[in-house]
Amino acid sequence: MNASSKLKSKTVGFWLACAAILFAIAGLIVFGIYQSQKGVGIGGIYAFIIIGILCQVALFFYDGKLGPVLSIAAAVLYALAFGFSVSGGVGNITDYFTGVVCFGIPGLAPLNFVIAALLLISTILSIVVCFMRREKSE
Amino acid sequence: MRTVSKHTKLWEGLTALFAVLLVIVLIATSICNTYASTINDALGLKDSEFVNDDVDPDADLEYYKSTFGDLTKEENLKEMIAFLQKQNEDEMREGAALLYNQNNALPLGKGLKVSTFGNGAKNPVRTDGGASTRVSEDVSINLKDALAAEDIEVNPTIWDALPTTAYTIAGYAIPRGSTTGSWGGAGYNENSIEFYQQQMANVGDYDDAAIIVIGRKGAEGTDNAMSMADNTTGEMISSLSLFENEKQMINLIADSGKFDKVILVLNTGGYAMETYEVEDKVDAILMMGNPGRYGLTGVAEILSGTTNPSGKLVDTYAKNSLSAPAVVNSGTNTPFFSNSGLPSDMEAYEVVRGGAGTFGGKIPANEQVALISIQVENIYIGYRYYETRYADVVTGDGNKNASSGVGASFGASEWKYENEISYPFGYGLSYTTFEQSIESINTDGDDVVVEVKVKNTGSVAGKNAVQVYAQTPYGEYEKENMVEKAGIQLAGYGKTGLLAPGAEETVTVTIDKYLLASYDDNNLKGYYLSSGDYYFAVGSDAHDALNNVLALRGFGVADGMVASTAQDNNAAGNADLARKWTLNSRDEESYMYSETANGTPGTRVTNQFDDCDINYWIEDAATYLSRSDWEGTYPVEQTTVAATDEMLERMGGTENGILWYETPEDAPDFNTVAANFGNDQGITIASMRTVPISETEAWRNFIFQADLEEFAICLGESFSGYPAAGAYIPAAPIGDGTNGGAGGSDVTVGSTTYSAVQYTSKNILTGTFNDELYAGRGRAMGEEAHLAGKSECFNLGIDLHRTPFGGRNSEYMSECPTLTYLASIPEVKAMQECGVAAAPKHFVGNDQETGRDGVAVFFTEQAFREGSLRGGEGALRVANAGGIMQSFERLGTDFASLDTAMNTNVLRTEWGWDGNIITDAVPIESGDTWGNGYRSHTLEMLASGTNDFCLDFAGEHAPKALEWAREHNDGYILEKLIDSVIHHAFVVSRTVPTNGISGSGHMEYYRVWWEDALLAAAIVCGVLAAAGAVLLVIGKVKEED
Repeated sequence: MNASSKLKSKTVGFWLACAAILFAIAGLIVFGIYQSQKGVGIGGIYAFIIIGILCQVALFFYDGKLGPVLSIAAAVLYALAFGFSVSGGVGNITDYFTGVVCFGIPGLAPLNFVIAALLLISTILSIVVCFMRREKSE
Repeated sequence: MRTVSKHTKLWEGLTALFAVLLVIVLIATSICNTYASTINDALGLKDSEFVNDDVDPDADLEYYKSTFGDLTKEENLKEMIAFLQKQNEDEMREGAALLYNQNNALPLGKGLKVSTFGNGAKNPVRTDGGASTRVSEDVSINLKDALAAEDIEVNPTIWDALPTTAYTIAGYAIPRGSTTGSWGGAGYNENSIEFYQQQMANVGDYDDAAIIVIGRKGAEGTDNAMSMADNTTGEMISSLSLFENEKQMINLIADSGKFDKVILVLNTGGYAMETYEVEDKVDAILMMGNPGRYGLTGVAEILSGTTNPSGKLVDTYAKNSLSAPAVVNSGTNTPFFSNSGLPSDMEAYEVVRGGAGTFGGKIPANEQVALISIQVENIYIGYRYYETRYADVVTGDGNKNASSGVGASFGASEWKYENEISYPFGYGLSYTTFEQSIESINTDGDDVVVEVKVKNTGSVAGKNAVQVYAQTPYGEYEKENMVEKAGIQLAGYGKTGLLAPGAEETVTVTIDKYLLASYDDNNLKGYYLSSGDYYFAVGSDAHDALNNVLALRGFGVADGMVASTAQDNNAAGNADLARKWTLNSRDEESYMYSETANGTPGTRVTNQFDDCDINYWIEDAATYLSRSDWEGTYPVEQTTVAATDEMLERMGGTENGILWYETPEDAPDFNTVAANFGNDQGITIASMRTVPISETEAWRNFIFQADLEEFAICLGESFSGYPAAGAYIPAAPIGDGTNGGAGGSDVTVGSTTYSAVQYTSKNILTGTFNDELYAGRGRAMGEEAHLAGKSECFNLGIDLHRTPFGGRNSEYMSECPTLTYLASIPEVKAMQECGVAAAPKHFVGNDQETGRDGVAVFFTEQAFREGSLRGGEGALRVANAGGIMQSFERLGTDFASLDTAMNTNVLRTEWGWDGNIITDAVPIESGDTWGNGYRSHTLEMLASGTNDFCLDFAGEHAPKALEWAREHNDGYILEKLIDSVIHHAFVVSRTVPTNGISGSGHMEYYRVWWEDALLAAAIVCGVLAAAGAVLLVIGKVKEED
């Protein structure tokens, strides 16, 4: 099967998975920018996002017995990244809404919002993907 | 072809869904547990309660009662609520300062139709942004309604056209130019001139007066900018000068000729605005500060004439606020250490948490070392600079070069008072005239007692503030030993009742001579009274009193004396309003030993802050301002230094999380001390109510009832209060806010829901010069706190208006340390009579918000003791406040929470003060590991004498210190924890949370509903995820088959 016909065999679920990956990559980049500006967040967030992406990428090449495990793992890993990014940003977000500089860096709160939004979208897309077939031939 | 059943995909999707939900619920649980007490407070939940055993039904367990009686009775509660509203209104009635009143433009009278202009008219800064913000427009009196109550109708078309959106402050939020959150209020971004040009067509017959309200606001973490771009012209100006669009608006209204009168109202809580440019355009100027919830009623009454204003300025209103000598090294001008390694184009306001210097990698950035603020202005802040320089221009007491152009504003070649000052400290007009005369003065003993007769010589009833000032000798000894003296200083005050026309009253002002003593940090290393001539004078303001002194000394207009303002005629002074007292020899004995708060014998007062003088670390690094050489010492350039290795080691040189703490050689064995714990004797905190803290064994026995692991949990405060610990220390809620917030959220009692009141800014309250209203504020906030079950309330801002730009000036009382000292005493005492511990903040010297996290402040000990420290001394040493909140800055090289000289040597030893000492916010959750990072040095905090930890959400400080002490067999740290818990429990035992606890019983702890809900959600999600996974596996197996 050539690449063209292979792509044609992909379902909406496949493209949603691609979108989830793109949002996750965007989240990864923004999180990197956030950390370079002294933003608080555990390093594990990088690992969660990268492994989540790898799981979904692996599904492009392999969708055997363990396919659902990879698919579910991606959603869970993005959720972990989302949760810990929110947890690390509580100080910034608190200061942003209260207008004081006390617990974090309020100027970073918009980045916290962006990171959370990107990772939440990735998570939701990944969950939706789990309900869907990835190839028309399935 | 491989087939995938629909069921398999369903199980896969559901497994993913519930696994994700499980993850989110678990992380949410972690976050909620961290902020549990805050959440519980917001939801009105308790997770612990003291359960009494066998309570005598007749026993009265309400040890600390409301001063309004039983508040479950509706009439008492209503009486209290009415009192709170009246307090807020009275503060404005007596605190708003009428600064200018050309041709008696005010009062306006009644039955009028007026138009309002300026963002502040409809959307005033009711309170600045900060911990105390508790105000809602929905329940507040607005200017339109307040004027309507005075039979003054506001133009509805223009009123409706004024925007209701929030405005930014005229300072540097972070990042530059962003708003500071949800606080509304007028700011520098006034509406465009085009907007007001349109509105002029809507004036109609609402032309009896134009009321223009403009303002400035501040907020935590942000100072008003000393230099910023005008948002119309782009020109760099001070944020306290008028912006171009403000001037355009005022000129448009004044030049229109439509209005009979133009009234300017300043809505500014402690930021002295520069109005001289528009004085010839307006007929009257009223400074109303921040009105809070009900204060605009007072403003309307003053405008109409129902109330005769009697408020006085608590700050100097300079024509050029940048002329204050403190400006060059503080606020948004604060310099960096020259070797911080921070980018050369970085500005002070950009230093935020995690963004400080590393000094070439010598210290971690999270130690927050970057900014240095050397208080080269010495004792000369506010009027103590301007009036002293004026006195020296006239008398030459200090130096003949006082009139040098150095420090003169607007490029003048000669320093002239009239070019510098718009309105002096203590200034404020009335609708009537008063005549004050000194009936007697008695200087015998420890006090000076002055009797002042006040007569209302005008035609309107009114109150009058009596201000007594002193000039102390500045002689050869002072010059030789670099002891500085203000040319005039407030010594005491009083206030008349309402005097009808022709009526008179004698006001007695008692002055503690201690407030006239000087601290000699060079030779005596203690307080003393100078030998020579002391002058006492009454005056309508500081300048007027100084003129009266100068007149008594034989000076006159020919010597350069000038009036308080261009509208006054007191240039020559009045010698009859001043008296001289001579002390023949220097008194070094009277204040050699301290007077203590707890009545224990005082200790020898001596230098504690030598290392807070930058010259201690680096020879001749700074030149402090001295009246002996105005020209040579007035600061015209920033003063900074390269931090030495020794300084850096002190500020941030950590090794394995230890900054400077070393276990003392005589530290007790950890296990020996620990063995005392777990000895339950059934002693409740109610039993400790009357036990003085000096009965150490009794308090230790009380503490030792708890298990070792739990006894210090109560030290970790988290927004809403301190948690309970063990079986006998109850939770202790706190209230935070200097102008409101003592009660926190709404409280429902019976059928009445009470909502906490936001009071006026402190410049208005303090400007009343009325001890009854100071006490009224303490009682009002104390009652609110009592009703909400609070133990402690951070009610009192005792820092100084070091410059007019300080972002929290509205929370602090004045530029004058003596006024702060005196005015804090009634407020503290009144609050504590309500069973609530008053706790001043931010102790001490937190005079700027820019880089407040760690800015290193250097000063002379004289300036500190007679300035910042004096500001807090009244509340603690005299009024015996229950607690303090520390500040964020460094005193010299030591973060205030790590400063042994302050926390132990001065507070405990010198002042004999027993309250609890809590840090400012020190959560460790910022990514720092414990012990590493500016706010994480628990061992040093404890060793220096700090007790409690503010916003320690996760409750980490005390447990981690305990763990460290155990690992290192350090019984000294364990003893410090015990001592901290004793101070903590001592305060709790004297406050409302002890109500309801009998002599026997114990704490019970339970889960609140949201904890159960989260647990249930986690279980459900977990089970469903597992079920989904099982079904998925089964489905897969079937597919394979």
